[in-house]
Amino acid sequence: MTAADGRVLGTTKVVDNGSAASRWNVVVLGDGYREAEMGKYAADTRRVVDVLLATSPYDELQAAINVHRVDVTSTDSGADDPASCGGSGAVRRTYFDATFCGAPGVQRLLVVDDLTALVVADDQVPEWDVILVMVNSQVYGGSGGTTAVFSLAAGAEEIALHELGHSAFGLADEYEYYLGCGIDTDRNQHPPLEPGEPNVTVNTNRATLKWRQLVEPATPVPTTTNADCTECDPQPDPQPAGTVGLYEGAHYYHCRAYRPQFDCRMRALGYPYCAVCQRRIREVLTPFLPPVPPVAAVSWAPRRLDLFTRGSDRAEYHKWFSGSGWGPSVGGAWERQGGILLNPPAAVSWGPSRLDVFGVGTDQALYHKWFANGRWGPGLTAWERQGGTARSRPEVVSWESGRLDVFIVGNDRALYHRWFGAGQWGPANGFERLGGVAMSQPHATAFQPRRLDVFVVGGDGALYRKWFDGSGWQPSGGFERLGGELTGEPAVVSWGPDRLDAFAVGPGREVLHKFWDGGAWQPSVTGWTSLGGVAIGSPAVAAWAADRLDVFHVGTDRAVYHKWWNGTGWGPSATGWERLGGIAVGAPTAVAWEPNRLDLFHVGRDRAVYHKWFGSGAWGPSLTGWERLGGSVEA
Amino acid sequence: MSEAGTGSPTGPEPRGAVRLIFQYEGDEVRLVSSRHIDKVVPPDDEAETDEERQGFYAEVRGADDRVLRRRLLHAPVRRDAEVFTDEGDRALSRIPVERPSGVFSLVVPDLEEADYVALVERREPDRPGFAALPSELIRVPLRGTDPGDGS
Repeated sequence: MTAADGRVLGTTKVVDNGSAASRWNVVVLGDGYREAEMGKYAADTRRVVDVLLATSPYDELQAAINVHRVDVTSTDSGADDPASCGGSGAVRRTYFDATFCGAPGVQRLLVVDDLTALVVADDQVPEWDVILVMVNSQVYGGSGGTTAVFSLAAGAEEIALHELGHSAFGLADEYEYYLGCGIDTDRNQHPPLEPGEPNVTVNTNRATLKWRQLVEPATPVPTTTNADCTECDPQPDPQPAGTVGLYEGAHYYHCRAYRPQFDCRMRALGYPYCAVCQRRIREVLTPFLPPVPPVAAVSWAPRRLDLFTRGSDRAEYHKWFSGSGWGPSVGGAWERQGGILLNPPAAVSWGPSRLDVFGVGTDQALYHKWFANGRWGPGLTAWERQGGTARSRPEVVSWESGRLDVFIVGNDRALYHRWFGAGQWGPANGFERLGGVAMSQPHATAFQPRRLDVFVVGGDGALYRKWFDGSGWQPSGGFERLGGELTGEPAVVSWGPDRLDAFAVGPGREVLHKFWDGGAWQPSVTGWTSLGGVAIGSPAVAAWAADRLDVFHVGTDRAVYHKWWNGTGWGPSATGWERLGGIAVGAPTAVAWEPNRLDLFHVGRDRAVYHKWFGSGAWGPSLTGWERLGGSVEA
Repeated sequence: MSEAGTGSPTGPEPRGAVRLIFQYEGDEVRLVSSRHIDKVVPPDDEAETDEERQGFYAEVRGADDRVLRRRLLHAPVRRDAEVFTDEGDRALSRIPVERPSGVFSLVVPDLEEADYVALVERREPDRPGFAALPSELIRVPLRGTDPGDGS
């Protein structure tokens, strides 16, 4: 009845939403399955995973979750079921030593050897977040703690969902008794100290209540009071089902402790998680969601910003700062500009009061709209079709007034180019094919008229460059290989003629840098210099003047980090980064409208756009604070 | 509206994470293993989850004892067990455990400035109106031990 009673066969990733390092990892361990029952174990796992992923709010957070099934065999099928607890008296030799009657007289308490479970999970999936142990028995039972243990009896997976609330999200029990209603004699009034858990409270002040944002003004606070603190409150819910308020009776006490809803999975099995518990689960899991692409931000003049993003309806949305405030308004409002876009838009300005925006439509064609003479063309919500077949976001740069160069990656992963100059689009027959095998978006810069440098990450993870020198594309017939084993998208910038700085994230998640000094790449053609950091996704960079660089990335805690080159050295140190706070689910975007000014944007957990700025020598609204600009950004 | 209010305290950038596995008998907690892992860590708890609240907290602290990161835990040292029923109301209840023993795991961010992890329990004060009584169950140094090294 130990680990000698079976063996670990291996692990299968049954829900794969990305690397284990970046996702929330659920590990399923089976106990009491004989080797011949591995097919049944796989089917049982699938059923439980389906229940988990159909449960709100996990259903909307699926992209954050991986599930790993560890195949473990046992000598016998089932679990111990001691007769002393009224069980069958069965004794089974199983790997994790599953047994009912985990406490005297409590048959339903199904426990396993937690240390063995933990060691196996740690060995098979070092990045595990929660462990579910599924015991091959039809007797109802389960337990919580480090692992969530449950049997195959109907509804027993509810035990796992309740226990996940404790172990993964720090949720409290919301029931208003300890041993049971009518049994307890010492559970009349909760002690006065506020519990740390987010879903129970002793506070009856609406203004300072933990979940005050979820309570409607018309809902009374407290919502119910218990007339007899020696008993559980027998009254039914006086409010419509699902109302968030302040219900007396929670956290093992009849009175002076409150729960947010009348019913919740943390109060009794079979109910949904209450809204407060769901909010907590979203807060914990959001950092594990895949990154959202950055917002497109351009500035055509000092004190002018234009932001473009793809909304949850996949239309393009616009917001602008005109010197005195945000339009259409600072909060949630964005100007809807129509379209149904496959991915986020790109934007550029070739001069004051001129904007050009590009997006890829559902037919994979490139679409264009522009702002000139105070109005949008071809119309506020209309788009001009440019054709092509794009699998990437578009990239657009402008080297002078009246000039646009647009790049896309085609279905064949080759780079394609289209331009606007002298009042017309070229080439006349669609797109110029520049070749290559691009695994990333294109990234381009134009450091002077008639000069373009385009970068992509190749199939080998290295950065590649192609450039237009005024007369033709170089190197002829190919790309220049700039080395690296890059993850995510690179960022490139130029602070002056014949100067290029490229940043990317390396295999160890460090931010890497290389630069073209006018004569050669430094530190070498294929070499990179580590700037430290531990980055998720892709960096962003801005240059407000010659020999000035500001680089940003999102760290593993989803805060935004910053370092800068001031002409003589990196700040805050060669490998150190300044923490700017925020909780970003996507890459940052940086723009500079004049020297000593930076505007920085990221998409937050609520999919709204957040903004901070550097001006007059300090960060606004504070070093780690962000201004919420609203919106609902689609991934 | 500022997002900073729901973010983490200002602090250094994590370089991955450290998983700590503990075993306990009663209130005596000992470290079984520590291991560096490359992993996104869940966000810290809100700044308002402060010293005046009851519960268990994993605190990553600097050499000057400053709290760099704090995360709320649900009773890692279990002095009772939860009991489930499949009867009509599907009610839950608790029973005390005579001799608490078990294991638990923590994942904390690996911070350059971090010196140690403290597992702290804040309990009801002896006298009403007084601050919560902190009790440090274990302190685990984060520097000077090899990854995977038990103690």
